Amino acid sequence: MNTNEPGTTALRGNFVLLRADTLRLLLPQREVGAAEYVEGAPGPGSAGGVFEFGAGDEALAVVALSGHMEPLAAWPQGRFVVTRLAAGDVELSFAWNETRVLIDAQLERRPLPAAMRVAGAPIDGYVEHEGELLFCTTARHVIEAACAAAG
Amino acid sequence: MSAMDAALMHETMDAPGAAMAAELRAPARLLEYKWGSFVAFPAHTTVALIDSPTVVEVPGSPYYCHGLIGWQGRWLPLLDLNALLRAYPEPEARAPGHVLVLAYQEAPGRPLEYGAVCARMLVRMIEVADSQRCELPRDSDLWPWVSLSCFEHEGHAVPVLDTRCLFAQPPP
Repeated sequence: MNTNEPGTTALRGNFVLLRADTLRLLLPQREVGAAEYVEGAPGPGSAGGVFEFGAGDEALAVVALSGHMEPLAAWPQGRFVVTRLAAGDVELSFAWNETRVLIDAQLERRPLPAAMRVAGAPIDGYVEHEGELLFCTTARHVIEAACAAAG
Repeated sequence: MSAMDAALMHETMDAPGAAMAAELRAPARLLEYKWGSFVAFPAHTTVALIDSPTVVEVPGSPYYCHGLIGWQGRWLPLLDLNALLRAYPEPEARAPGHVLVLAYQEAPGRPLEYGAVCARMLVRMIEVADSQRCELPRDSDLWPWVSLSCFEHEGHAVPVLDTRCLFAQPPP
């Protein structure tokens, strides 16, 4: 890709790639908790779009996002990895197809084209990594997108 | 230069010499953005036509934006003019058959940037005379914002679109 595009900035540090089907998100590693692996299908949770593994005090509430970054109403196949995202006092766990830590990564972040920018949108830029587009976002934006879509 | 020529050459990019030589008629690309409805672009802003590109959807992007497409080492926004102009999205998003790549400048002297719009059919090159000038259609509030001018062609009012407005400014 063209490295001379206006607005391109260098990113360096530890990041986490979170994949939900075709959606690939890039977050700072400090905002993403350790990955847990889950087996089987969860039960329904306390609200639409929320699922629960286990029961009682040990229950783990999990959201599975679609490729459009909205909570899925039905549990999808292939979401074996759960990570907890934290933004201030709010924490929420999400299920992914794949997570990958990029250690001391050097990336080029490009802003979204002006025609695609929306104030408050969860994505405002992207990087190209190993031939794939990773959308730059934050734990707060992922949590807010999940909560907004769930109403 | 006639008023219509001036509109078609309004954008500040260097125009091809052949286009500048046509004092009474100016070249334009005609695009059918929905069944039976057309827009035109100044010929020098039209860069390439792509068949069935792969579109990467971007969460949270505007309803009139399909996503990003890769083209010559860049990622371009792909806009659906029909959704933009009628101010609501298609109920079921369909993969674009053809995509027209367009050039624009955010301001005079700035480098060229690129965006793309969906094209139902292949685009056509036509020539437009000043005598074809007409009023903008009234089926969208956005026509005055996004149009440089308008001409009558084969019974249709065809707005000439400003690519800078499309890609560098959010709709009002």
